[in-house]
Amino acid sequence: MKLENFNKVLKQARLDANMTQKELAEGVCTQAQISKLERGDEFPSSITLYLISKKLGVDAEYFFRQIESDRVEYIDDVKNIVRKYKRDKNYQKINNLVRSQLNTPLAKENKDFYQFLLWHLGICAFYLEDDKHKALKFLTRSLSMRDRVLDKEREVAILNSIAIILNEKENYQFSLKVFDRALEKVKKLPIIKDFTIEIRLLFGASKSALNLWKINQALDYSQKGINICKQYETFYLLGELYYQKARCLKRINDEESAVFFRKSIQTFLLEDKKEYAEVVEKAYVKYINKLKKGRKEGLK
Amino acid sequence: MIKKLLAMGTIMAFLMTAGQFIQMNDVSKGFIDNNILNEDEEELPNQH
Repeated sequence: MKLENFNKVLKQARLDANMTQKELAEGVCTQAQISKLERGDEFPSSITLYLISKKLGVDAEYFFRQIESDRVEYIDDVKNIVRKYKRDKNYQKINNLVRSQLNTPLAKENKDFYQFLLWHLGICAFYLEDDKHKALKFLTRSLSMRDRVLDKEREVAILNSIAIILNEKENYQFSLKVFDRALEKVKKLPIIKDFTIEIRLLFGASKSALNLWKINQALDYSQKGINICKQYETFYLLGELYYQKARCLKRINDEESAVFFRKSIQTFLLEDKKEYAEVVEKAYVKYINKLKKGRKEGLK
Repeated sequence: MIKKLLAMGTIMAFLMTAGQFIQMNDVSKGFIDNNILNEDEEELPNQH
């Protein structure tokens, strides 16, 4: 445990207790020593810490809990900012933030945080430098830390990133294998804290399967994803999954495809994702025109 | 000794270039295959 924040916690506790340094020092130590402790020039002995905590009306554990919670909050803040940038696909900002954290004592000491940073460094290497090998190197390195990290969902999320990169490099076969492996791991998790991970995997798996012309399999993944969205009453990737289902049905000449194109467009419009709605609309119009043309030719 | 090193360097450079060429060939072949497989609709991005 790093104690560099002890001084801040002590000062805050003294101010919360409405005491001056002189008042706190009475019967404990000298005022000069309190001043040194608050500046971070010295750490207290266990006896001094006991006396200070007694004077402030807290137990000695209080200081350690505060120090730890500050660090946890800081890590959570960094993770939340990275997640926000990831949703906006702002990889440059993720890269800047992750690199600024990577060599801090906090990252070196906290395996979970370090794994999180490596994972995102991998994603950034792929999108900013278009370097698949570098990206996979970071991702496999972060994956190799899985036994030292409590968060087992992270392992699945990293596998998802690996599969996405393979998909984007058109290595669909391998990508689908990784998606399948990640989906198996999700099933084995005792509790799923973040239900979106399974939806992300199913959407990605459906895309890779469709590129391999494994249409029934792709259809199955997209339907499972839609079912989860309904189960959790969420719009998360629902528009994408409807579109995916429409694409699968289109390939097997099932005219129900049009229904899912429309559902996808409606979902994106409700979410205010106009760009995505336009992509689907374009595909839908092309499909409808093809159908009309086919019917005319059939009548002739 | 220097001559031997130079010769080894040349061979290494040749092998690396040949390797890259073969890899590029594979990539372009895969790209063409996938273009045939993929129909005209655009894909939507995955989520990490």
